[in-house]
Amino acid sequence: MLRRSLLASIIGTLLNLWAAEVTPIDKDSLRFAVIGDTGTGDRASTEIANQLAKVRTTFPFEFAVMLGDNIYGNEKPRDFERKFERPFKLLIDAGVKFYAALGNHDDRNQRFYKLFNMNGQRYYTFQPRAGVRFFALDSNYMDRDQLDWLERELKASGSEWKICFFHHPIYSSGERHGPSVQLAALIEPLFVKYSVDVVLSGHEHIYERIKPQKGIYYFIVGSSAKLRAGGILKTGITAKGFDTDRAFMVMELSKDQIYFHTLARSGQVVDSGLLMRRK
Amino acid sequence: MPSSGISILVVGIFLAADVKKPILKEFTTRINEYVKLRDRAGQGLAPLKREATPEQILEHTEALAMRLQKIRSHARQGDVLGPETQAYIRDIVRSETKGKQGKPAKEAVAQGNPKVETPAQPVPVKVNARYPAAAPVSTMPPALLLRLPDLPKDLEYHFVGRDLVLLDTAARIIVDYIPNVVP
Repeated sequence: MLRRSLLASIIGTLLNLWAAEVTPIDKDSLRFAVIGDTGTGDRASTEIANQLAKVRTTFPFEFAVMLGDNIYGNEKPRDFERKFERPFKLLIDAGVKFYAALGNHDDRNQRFYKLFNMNGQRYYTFQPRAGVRFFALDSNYMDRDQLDWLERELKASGSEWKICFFHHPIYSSGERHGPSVQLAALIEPLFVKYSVDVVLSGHEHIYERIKPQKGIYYFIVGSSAKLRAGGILKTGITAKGFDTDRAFMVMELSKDQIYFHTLARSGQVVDSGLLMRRK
Repeated sequence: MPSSGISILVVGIFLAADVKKPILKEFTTRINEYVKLRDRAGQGLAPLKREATPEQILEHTEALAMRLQKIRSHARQGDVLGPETQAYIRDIVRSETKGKQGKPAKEAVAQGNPKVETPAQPVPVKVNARYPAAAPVSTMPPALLLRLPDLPKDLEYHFVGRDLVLLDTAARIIVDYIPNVVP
């Protein structure tokens, strides 16, 4: 009897999660989507894009950040069309802005592509709203100029919320690549020193939420088109992992809180939660 | 990742980063000559807008690449990365990638390395060759990058297999290379 009731409870919870409608907590909050390693143009990427458009009907986000590997393979005009503009047409037509970071599969000249909003820069910053600043980094090539720029921008930001995004994760349980240790050694001290709140990366074709590291929330969202099934190793740093289907995130910043939902391409919510901003 | 490991690495990397790089006269002279050539190649080409279409990006990249290939049609390996520079870079790469301590750097070099990731199009390691858009670029280990001589805008070091190539990213042209630089 007890076993049956437990089973019913689990099934009920699962069904609730499956059917959960993602809605904002605060109507005045800043909302955005997070996608990574999307540039295949295949069925999975289209299904993720369609699911994003569907979620946007109940969770209206203003823009999406792209975590690199935005266009795999050739980069002729027809590739931009087939691997980005066609799958994401519903969102582009709805006026959603995309802000891209460069991955190791991306031509550096993508920085001039108008729909990626990089303004001709390998690394850049934007402020979608007062008090919130995003920093897009080029983790393929972390040279002295970029490091100096990052420190300068973080120091001068004055924003309450600081969110960094780039391709190579510095914390990862991914079996394919693992953490970028050298990159971590250079940029993590800056994140800590200047109170970065959230760090978003791709590269590893999984979803992973890392247990907070030195007060910073790290996410890997590298499975928005490609997937490495079973690609999460047991490392002890995983707060939540999902490696059985493609995934994307939507986030909401409201005052000192950040709400996040991670969805599979089926629409199933696979992770969600509330995080507090660092003081 | 154990944080103590990171701390040790941080100290090591910052020490490396703080070391003043010697001024390589040969390197500076030759790189500046290349930049002048590239400026000449770009004369008359409309600059790429910051909000370009894929067609404009392709057209610009192709045009610049063709002009550079023409202007540098007699260029040979070692013209830009001369003997002194090659020896200097070889020493740095060897010290950054050897032994147990060099493992993270070696792993980083393998990430995106077209010889490891087997792209649809192989990358020909030749002076003036086009770097195929379909091929990924290797991730440069940051600690190594901080020790290599600084480059002007739109020039980058990358690895193709064990070779180090000097890539003009605006034209996707291999400007020069050093063979078998990774031990």
